[in-house]
Amino acid sequence: MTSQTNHLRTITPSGRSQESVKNSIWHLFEEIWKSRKHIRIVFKENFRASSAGTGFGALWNYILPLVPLTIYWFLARFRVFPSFEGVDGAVFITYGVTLWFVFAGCIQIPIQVVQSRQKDSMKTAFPLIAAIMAGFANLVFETSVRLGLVSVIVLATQSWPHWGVLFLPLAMLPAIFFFGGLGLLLSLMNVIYKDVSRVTTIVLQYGIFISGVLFPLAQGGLLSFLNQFNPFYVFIEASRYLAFQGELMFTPSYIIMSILSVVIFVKALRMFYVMEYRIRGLV
Amino acid sequence: MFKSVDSIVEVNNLGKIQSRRPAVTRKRFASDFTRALLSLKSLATDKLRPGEFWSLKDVSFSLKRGEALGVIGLNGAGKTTLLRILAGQILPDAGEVYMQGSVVSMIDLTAGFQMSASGKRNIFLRGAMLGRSPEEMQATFDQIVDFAELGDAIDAPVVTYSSGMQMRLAFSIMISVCPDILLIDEILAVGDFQFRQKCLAHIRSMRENSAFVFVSHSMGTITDFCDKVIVLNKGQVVFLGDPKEAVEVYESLKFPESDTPETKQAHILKPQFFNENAIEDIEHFWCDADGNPITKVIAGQDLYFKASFCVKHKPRNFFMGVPLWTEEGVYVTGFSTQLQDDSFDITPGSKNNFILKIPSLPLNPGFYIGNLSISDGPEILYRQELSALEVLQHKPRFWGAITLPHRWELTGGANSGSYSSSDQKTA
Repeated sequence: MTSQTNHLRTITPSGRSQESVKNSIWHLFEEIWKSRKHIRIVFKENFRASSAGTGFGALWNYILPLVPLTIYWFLARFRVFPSFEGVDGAVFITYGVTLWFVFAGCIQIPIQVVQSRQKDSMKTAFPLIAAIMAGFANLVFETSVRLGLVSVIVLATQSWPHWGVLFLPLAMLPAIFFFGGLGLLLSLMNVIYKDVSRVTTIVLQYGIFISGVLFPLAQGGLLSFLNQFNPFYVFIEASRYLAFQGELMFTPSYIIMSILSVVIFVKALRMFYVMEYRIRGLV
Repeated sequence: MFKSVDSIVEVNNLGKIQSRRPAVTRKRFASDFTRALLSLKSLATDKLRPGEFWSLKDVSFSLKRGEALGVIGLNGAGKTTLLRILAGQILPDAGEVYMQGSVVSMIDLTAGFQMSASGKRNIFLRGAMLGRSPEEMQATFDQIVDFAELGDAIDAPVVTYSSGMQMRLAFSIMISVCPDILLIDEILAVGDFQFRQKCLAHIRSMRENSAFVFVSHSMGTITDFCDKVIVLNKGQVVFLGDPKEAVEVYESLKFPESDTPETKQAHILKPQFFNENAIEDIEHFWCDADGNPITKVIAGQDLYFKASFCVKHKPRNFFMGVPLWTEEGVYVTGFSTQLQDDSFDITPGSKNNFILKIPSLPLNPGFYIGNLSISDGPEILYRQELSALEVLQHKPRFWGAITLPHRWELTGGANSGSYSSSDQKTA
């Protein structure tokens, strides 16, 4: 059962592809805005459903996101990870892992939502982008929970961040654009080649070890050169410097990645807008 | 754009390409993806590739407020595809659709339900999908629950509902808004008979303010409800116009003239079934009073039917019957044991013999075809074709398939008298 609001609607084969990039992105955000109540309800329901029938109930929604962080915290306590640049190892690791989950989530959520909702979306006119936003809302919740734990660890270790950390959301916006855009493009490619989601999962599982989250990467040689092209490394390093040193390292890599992130994000939004109704016909 | 100022739905040369092979469909998607990546303005190409076919082609119509358009056709004719395009769920590959006003589609009523959430929560969820605020849904909440007849079950998770309850809830939410355009796929699939009548009554009350596109296999509903009807066949409009004529066209599609009489009869009598693990040694035939097999009988005479069979297990809820059609496919009547109060004690492993007596056969001359159907509750044990029965003429004149005993009386005037059809019964 679906509904559209009271206006003139024109449905043509190439209607969406003939719109300008600006209009496409505007309409996409318009769809998200119109579906905001539904996004809220879907998020709430997913939140409830994920722990329905369990003894601890909604407590699981707080416990599970913390599990990986607590593992790294304990390893840091046992000196598996040393202190880095004056920052306690536990803070350094848990902060980095939290960022990693944000970036990885930005890539994986669109793929998972499009894959799981593809069949259902054909039967409703509910925009897929709104379903993806409900997934992102969950990511925001989990990230808040993780940041809560990071704050506790900061308090416990007295490893205070620099006040520049307040600018972190702004500095990380290019990263969100980059990985969110990549996620949208990959979600479309996964419709064509089902292997994409599997390959992405594998890449992300190995990726954490080449992102500089767990271990400092080489500062010289070929690996150091390659790191300049590793978006995970570039954005995580930039965020760490801002959070603990109070400096935003406007390295050429960060600037290039930021420009690239806007290009990828705009292209991905446009592609998703044009292709969404083609996905629906694919069941 | 709209050709007529009154129209609120305009469909021009609509077409949709589909394939039964997912790989072919994905290939088209990949081609569109590449074109979008290269920022090419035109995505869709209306050229068929290997493995593709037009599931809709050159469909055009317009609708005004207060009009109802029926869409009928055989399975796979493209009815639901048309509805899905109008609902904005999928894109066409050719043509265009213009729609003025709010659209509500009832294609897959339960799609989008959050099964783990309660009926109550789903009301608000669906309301949000329909563009209604929680406050608006709260205002109509009681009305929705009343209409759905769910009572306390509204607080239970939807996953615990029967399919009928889910349908009722979904339908009740839908009718809480009054759309300009309503797209309905098989409304008669909603709930039980009483609820269906309630739904239809409500839809009728919306007639004046909304335009309807209505897909159904119920020809009665189509002719009663619709102003005009489209008959789709293999994705193309083969008729658009008067509902009764449309139903005739549809019937001709079901039984094409090119079909041989045998093929037509096979269509009428299907499905045939024989569970050899449950029943065996079956004999059945039309016969006279002495039990001699016959293939012809004179109208008005007593007719008999004999059936004998052996069942392997004792049936719990045995019944059998003989449905009868004219050779043109008109369903005349059925002779079922379910109409009798007697319960038959069927003995497994031995022959059970039945005789059916039809006194003063009311069938008019012609050929009649039928099945013998033997069931144990919902399980059909045997359903096979009977030998054709030819009813021979006794009266000079007759009308229709049957002549029921009747009597005309002149109750006023100088020559009062009477005439009775039963007076002419043949012994």
